[in-house]
Amino acid sequence: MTVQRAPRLLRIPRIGTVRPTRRHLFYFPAGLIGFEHLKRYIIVSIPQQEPLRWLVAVDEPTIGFPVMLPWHIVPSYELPPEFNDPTTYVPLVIITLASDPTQLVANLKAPVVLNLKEQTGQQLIVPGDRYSATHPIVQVQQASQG
Amino acid sequence: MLVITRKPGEEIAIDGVVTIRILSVDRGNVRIGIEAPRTVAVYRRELYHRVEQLNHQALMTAAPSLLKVLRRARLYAVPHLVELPSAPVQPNPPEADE
Repeated sequence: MTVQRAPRLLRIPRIGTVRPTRRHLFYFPAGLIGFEHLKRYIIVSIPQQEPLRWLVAVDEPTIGFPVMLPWHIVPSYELPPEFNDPTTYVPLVIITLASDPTQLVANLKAPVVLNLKEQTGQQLIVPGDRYSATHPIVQVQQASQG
Repeated sequence: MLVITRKPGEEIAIDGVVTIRILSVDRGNVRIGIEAPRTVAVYRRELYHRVEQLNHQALMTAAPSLLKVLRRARLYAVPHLVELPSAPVQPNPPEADE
């Protein structure tokens, strides 16, 4: 039973309160890899944090993935050809602090692909070795750091 | 676990939609061909585990430390505007956040 009704009020820890409507809801039939039980997500963006956004599981709002459009990191980023319709498919990549906590990495290998027309999503694994699962995000050098 | 012995060239059919064919066996390496509908995700198990691990790691990242590092990140502007239906957020009052 997958009732596509948005919860009226969603309290997301450390982010805030969201009133999602049906229009905001994305259904992930297979969930995310490792989170197969969570199928409904919304995208939350906070103006001060842009271009970072949060992909939040509606049914477990403590589960929120920091994501961003891959083109902020790699302007030439491409999905596999079958997803090559930019009016339908939009990739988001998950951002993580690397084991070196001064370094951010983006998972370009396993993007979350939204289908804007169907309001669905899936986490792909892009075949081949073109993209890394831990692509370092370049940091601006800080001269003042000793 | 179901255990089946197959020879090179022989196949296994799963649910009528997935076909697994043993292509060749050579000194401990087995080459396998898989035919499946696009909706069926087929990955090497270790790759799947790696992504699972990274997804968990992304959740463990505390937002403040992530945002702090993000401020120094060199990011490109995205020229083509991508409209995503983002739900508007009302920040939590400070005392309500644990």
